[in-house]
Amino acid sequence: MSSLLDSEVKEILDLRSFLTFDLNEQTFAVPVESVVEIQDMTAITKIPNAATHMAGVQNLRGKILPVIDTRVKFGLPPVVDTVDTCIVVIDMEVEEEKVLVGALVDAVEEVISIPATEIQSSKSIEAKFDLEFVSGMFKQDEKFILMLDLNKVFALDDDNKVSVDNIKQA
Amino acid sequence: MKEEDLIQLRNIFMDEASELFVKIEKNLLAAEQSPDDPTLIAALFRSIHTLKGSSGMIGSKKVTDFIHNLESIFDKIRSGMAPLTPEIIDCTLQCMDHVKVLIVDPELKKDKDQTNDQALTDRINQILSGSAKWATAQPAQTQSAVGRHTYYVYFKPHAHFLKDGSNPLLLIEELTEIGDTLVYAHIDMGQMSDYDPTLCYTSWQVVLSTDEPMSNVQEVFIFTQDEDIKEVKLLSNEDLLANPRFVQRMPKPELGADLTQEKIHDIIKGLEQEVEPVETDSATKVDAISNIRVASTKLDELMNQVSELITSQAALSLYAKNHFDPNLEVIADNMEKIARQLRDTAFDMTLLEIDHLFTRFHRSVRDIATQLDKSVHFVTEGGDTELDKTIIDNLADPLMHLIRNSLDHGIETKSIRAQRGKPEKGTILLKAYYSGAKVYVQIKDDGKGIDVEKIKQKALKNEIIKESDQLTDKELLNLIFVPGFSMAKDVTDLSGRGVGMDVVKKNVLDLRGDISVESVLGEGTTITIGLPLTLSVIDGLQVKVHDTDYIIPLGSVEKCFELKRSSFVNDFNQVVSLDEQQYPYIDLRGEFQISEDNAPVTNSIILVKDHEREVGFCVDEIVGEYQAVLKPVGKYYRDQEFVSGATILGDGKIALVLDTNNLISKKHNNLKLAAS
Amino acid sequence: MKTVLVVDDSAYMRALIKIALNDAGYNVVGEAEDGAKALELARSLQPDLITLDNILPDMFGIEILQQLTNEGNAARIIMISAVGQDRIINKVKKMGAYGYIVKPFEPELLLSVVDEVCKSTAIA
Repeated sequence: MSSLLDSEVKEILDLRSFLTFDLNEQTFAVPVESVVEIQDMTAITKIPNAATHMAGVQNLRGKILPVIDTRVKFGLPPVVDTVDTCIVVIDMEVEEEKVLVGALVDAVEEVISIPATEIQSSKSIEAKFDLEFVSGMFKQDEKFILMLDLNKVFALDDDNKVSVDNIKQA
Repeated sequence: MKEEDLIQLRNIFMDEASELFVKIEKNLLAAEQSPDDPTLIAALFRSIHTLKGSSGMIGSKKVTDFIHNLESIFDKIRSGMAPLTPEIIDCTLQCMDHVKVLIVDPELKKDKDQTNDQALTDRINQILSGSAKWATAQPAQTQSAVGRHTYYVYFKPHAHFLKDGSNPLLLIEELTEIGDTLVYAHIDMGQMSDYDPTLCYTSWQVVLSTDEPMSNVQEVFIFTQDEDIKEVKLLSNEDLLANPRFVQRMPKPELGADLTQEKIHDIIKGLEQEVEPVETDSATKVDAISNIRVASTKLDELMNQVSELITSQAALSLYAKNHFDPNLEVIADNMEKIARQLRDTAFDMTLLEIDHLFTRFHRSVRDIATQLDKSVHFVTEGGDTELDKTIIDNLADPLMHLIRNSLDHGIETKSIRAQRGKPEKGTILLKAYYSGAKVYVQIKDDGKGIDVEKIKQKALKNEIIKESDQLTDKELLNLIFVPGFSMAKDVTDLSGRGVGMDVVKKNVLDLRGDISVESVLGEGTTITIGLPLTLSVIDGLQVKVHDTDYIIPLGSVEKCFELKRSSFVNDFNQVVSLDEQQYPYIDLRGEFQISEDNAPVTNSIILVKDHEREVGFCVDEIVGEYQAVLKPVGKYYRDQEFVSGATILGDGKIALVLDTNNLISKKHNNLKLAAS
Repeated sequence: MKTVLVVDDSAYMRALIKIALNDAGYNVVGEAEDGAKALELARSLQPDLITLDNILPDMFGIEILQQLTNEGNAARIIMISAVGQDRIINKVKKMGAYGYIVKPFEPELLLSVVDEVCKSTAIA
């Protein structure tokens, strides 16, 4: 559950806050400061002949929000959208410009706070995914939660395609 | 004074100083072509005067002191006491550059700035002291070849002049034959009782305006003696006698009229301070067109708000249509009209004349040409073509790069040009013009052109193409846009280093423009950049393919047709017949890889034009006209080629704006490949 | 409160003079960047005071001084110029200017001249 600790206490403990979500039964975390909002998965307009991991664009209160199909990007098997599928809107800095990007996820979990000391390097772990996108991990309730490196996940590749070869399946 | 006032004042000073620098440079470069133009000189004096005054007020004493003598030089020039020489123009240009440094770093911390300061100050002082010679003219130097000058002639024959039968009046008459004159005679005699009729008591003062050189005036007195007093002085480089106000102020040529040289000078000075007749000041009149300075952030806000208004109005129209309320529809239609007008006005405000860029380039070309020791005639056309300010800002770098390329690799040295029978001066033409729904900026030089053979060799070497590839000359030329393909053999200061045409192309693409190159070996190269007129709102045709809406820019639409889908899909021929003419077509459903199920039986075909090429676009249906507020699709989609932007429809759905030019280009290339 | 019209073709100078005068309790009611506008505003606003730069794009300040004096405009005019020779100052005073300031000047000087001009019954 969300910790409702005083900010002072938070500082002493150096707590980091994350939003967690699920992709193909693996839980990931992103820093909560980067998350702007959660959008419903409605009306995504696909732009033809773009990279396969681009789901399309969505109208975010008058702004055009690019939406990335994170599942495709990570090389995961395609999933049928359910009522829980939604878009996490993330505030990123790309090429020295602030942009909003949407990431399609299977379900959003919660906001949690973890002391920095509990964050481990992900190098020791075997995983189903290329850990290139992962900047660390921590354990909660018997689950390993992987922290995403947003800059790597949402990097602009010049050919804008992440070939499946890059992603090793363990 | 409050802190915030001081800050605001400093900003105003800096803004104004920037404008003055631009103005001064522009006028100096223009004066290189017409150094006698009084409006240019007056404008230059005023600008330098203002710069000196303001810098004094804001406490930049170093600047004031530095400019002080420069102002004096221009004051003399505008009073006609000195000509505007190329040396002065050149010196002033360099001084202005130095002033920019002085404003920012008055202590001149860098050594080279200190040296420069001393050198330029010396140069100014030299010019100024040299000018002391100008006022007392040596005939050969001060005479401008054309135009009348006004002289003051004083002649007092010695008392015995008449004794050998000489007639002083003949000399005066000669003067009147040289030009226009005002003649004043004086009699200097003591007592009437002392009068000796054999003696000459008369002296004359003549104001003479003539286009003959001063030496001719002096020659009138060639046979006089030393005892005869004669003086010929230059009063003005203008024809004062043609100026009715001067004539009015001069005393009447009656006997004994009180006239001295000082008096004449006073009259001249008095004239200078008065209003010039209407004709001369057309240049300054243009400056006086009422302008308001608006921060560009405010303009951006205005544009955003207008865009939002248009979107809301679209929603209103849709609502009105769906609710069958005729009253509401009328209001909504009216709102649409007003929104459109508001859009056009707001838009017009964000448009700038591309001349802003052109003026900057003149200076750079001059400097670079001098550096490269090449002789170049730089011509600009279409400076009044207007473009969105953002586009102009982003065009500056790519255009400068292209111009440098022309100077560096295009225009040959004087000797080579002579060998090739070309005029010694190379020409670079920078031209802006409208065509269709676009603005074009073209750089054309008559240099050595691009050698496609060399491109081919380089491309082979860098493995950009293979031996077996068959490329047309045009395709080879376009290889210069491939990253890393630099044509410079050695990395020069100016271009090369791989920061090349690929970056230029990328910048142009980011502006949703296109770039093409044409060249004839030995004759020259032309590079053409096409840009959309606006980044924000376009009139479009809304169409539907499957469940997605698209917008086709209305400016490119020629005509719409309807055809049965079966008649062209899977047709071997790749053309449709419209109005008894054959056109290639693009079936959007097929292009976008949408399945044939649910495809309507009858399709709409929109004939779209790009330059000379026409292609039919097949869609499911045409929805109607739509005023689209363009929004960029963002960096994540910058590599895709079909869509140049998106817009939000009245019901909140997104419609994609098709980049028809790109689609047409692709289609053409495919057709050519298929044919080969 | 004395009303003032500021005439100078430099936006910076106009801003500077306006701020200095307003801070000191005067009321700057208009600004003009050229002679035509200066004449128009002098006539329509009938200010108590005019600060008048001599070098303008379309005419000299002296010209405006002459014209307004001829028209009987009640504004007291302070000429501001870069040329400080006595000859010009005297000429300008003969033509009816109430004060004369040479650029560059400290804002305090402007204020003291303006104060004097307001109080005086004759030329400052």
